Amino acid sequence: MSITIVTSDNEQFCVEKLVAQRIALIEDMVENAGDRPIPLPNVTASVLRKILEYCEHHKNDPLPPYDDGSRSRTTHISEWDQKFITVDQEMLFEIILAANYLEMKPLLYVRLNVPRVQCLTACNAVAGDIGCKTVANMIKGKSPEEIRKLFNIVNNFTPEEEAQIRKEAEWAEDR
Amino acid sequence: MSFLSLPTEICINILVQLAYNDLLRLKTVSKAFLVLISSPAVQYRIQLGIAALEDDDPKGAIPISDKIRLLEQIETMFRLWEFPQITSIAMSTRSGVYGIQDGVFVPGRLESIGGSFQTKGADVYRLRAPMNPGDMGASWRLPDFESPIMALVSCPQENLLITMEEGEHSLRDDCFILRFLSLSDGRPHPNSHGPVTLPSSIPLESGEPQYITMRSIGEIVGLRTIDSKVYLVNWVTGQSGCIVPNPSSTGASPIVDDDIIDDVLFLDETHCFLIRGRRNPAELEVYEFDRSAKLTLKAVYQLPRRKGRIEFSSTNGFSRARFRGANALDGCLVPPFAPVPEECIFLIKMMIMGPEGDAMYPLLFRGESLLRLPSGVTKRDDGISVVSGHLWMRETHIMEGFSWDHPSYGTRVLLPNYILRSNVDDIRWDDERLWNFTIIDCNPAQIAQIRASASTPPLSLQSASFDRDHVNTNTNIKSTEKVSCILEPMSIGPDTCLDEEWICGLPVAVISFKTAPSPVLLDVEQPFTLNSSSGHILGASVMHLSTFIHMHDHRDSGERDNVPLLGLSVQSMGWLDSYRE
Repeated sequence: MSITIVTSDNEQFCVEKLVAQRIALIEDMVENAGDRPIPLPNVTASVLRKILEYCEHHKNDPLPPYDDGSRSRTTHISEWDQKFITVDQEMLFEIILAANYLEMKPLLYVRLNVPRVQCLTACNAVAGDIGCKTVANMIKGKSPEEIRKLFNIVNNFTPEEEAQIRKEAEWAEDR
Repeated sequence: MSFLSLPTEICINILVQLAYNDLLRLKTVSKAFLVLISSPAVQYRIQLGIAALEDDDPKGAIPISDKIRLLEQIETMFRLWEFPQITSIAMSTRSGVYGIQDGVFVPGRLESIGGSFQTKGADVYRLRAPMNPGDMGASWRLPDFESPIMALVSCPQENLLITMEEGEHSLRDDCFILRFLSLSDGRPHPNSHGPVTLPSSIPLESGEPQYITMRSIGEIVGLRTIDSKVYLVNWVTGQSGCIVPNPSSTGASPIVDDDIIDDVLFLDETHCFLIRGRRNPAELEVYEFDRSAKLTLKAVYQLPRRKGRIEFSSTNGFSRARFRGANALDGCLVPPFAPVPEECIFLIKMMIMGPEGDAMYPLLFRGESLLRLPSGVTKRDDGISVVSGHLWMRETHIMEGFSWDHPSYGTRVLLPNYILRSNVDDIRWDDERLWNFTIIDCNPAQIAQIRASASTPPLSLQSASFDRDHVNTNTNIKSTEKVSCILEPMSIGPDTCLDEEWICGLPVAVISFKTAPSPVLLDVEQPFTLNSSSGHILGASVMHLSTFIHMHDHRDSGERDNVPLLGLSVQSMGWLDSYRE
């Protein structure tokens, strides 16, 4: 059985139900939609394609159980996921944003009376773990100048202001 | 798309994956980053993470998310803990004044002297810490003073016990004496400047209770006396500042001759606010203070005008030191971190004396709302900013309902539904829904989720004239059985474990007993007076902790007729589904 999804740029995706169910928002909408296609006005085709690729790969994974803290430490991302998330920065942010949107389903948790931790979905993993970790890893250990270059940010501090903040930071770093 | 155009909650998710030192560097990237990292939402998570594992992470290199995850594991333990449903702890002595803070409980000893009840000494209980199992708790006795104690406050963060007695110096006018004692042995605190004497214009005689409120933050103690004066005292330097009631100069119409300061509450380590309820509009004055306890008026926040006179009945708010301090009582149960005052909810009970009768309104807001000056404020002649109601009250909740004390902790307040009824006469006390609770959370980050969780409309939540959108309710909490038990006198002790903690953004209260007390059923219909209460949200469940004076009516025994008994009642509520992130 498959489900039709329409993206913001009007592209139709025919998705296996098992795959679509990994996405919390879609799972929620399927119930009400019947045979009608499901619109995703906040997601473009190129981003959805990536997210479906992820869901397809992980479709047989068990849903993550209650987080007992044994989940991988910050920096660890599996090899496949690592390859999957190796995209340009624009795409990375788009994926995080879309996954965040697709994951939001607080009402469903209420209705099903399921503790939220048990509802971690594939998209949650994309947004929360892989995407955010990847961005965090990009920032980690870099100097302010490198970060500016990375995110294309203009330094709008005056030299005095910057020196002041740096001084405070150094003081804190020495503690 | 750029990093900073991501929604803030995603930015925060990314930032908490970083270590503290990375965040420090990020601050210097650009102004936008500085603002983001300095924002209360990010700082809150960061502080939480830092405070959590401070000792294990001297270099600030462990990702904050890992620290929070570890805390969550600790919290899971608490969630699986079985709590007594309602427990009353009867003291061996009756108590008029008491202080309870962070695992230190100080009930004053109430004694009948010449026909009137007075408190001259106190018992100090250091209760066992669940987070610190090696600490077995302790108790000691503060010997009687010459004069009755009128107020006492314990501050475990500073290892400080503050007592206030009335002075009996025949050569002087009446006065109050503030003593700053070491909480661990009752001797004068080593850092203290010594006792501070403050003048009093109220005759101090006959042991009449003087209504005094006392709060402390860091080195500063704030107190309001019965004659409506506010003092700030620095207990380390001995310096003090004072504010007396005076008619408003902000153009508020003088509908009453007298001006009253209703309370003094701390917003953070350098700001406090006073409530002047008799003015119309009622005003909250924000003062800045320094180490010398000198007060400088910074801004005036006005409530919307009302037809009737506003009488503030009482106030409630948390003002505590932020984090673990160097002076903390050695090995004591100071929580690793406590709610930051400006993030905390303040709850002020107003009584509006209107032409059609009196009505009670709880007014709720976060301390932070008083530290921000929104645009469009007007300046008074003396340059003080006046912020009128609609400009700052967007995050403020006023609800109709009669009320006494509400449990509040952090940004949340727990309201039993029956207090949300405006008319007591309508209440059918056998209506089960009355015993449900409503959580109101003033933390904007929580608003969407709580709104989503509020599946059933509350019984009667009548928002007064404005800001209905900002009243958020959750009716999923349900009180469990109203069963209570009384412990044998003196059963509170080293085996009793009572503490409050602040874990993963969630306040946690824990009470447990090594040996289960044999329950004695209390008839809840018996007359009792609720004296004071505080609420605690424990993971997904809620505890309601209250002290009350229970009027026993033992006609048979003849001995204990109408003996007021101070008890500590802990009530565990049902699970609160879907509340947590």
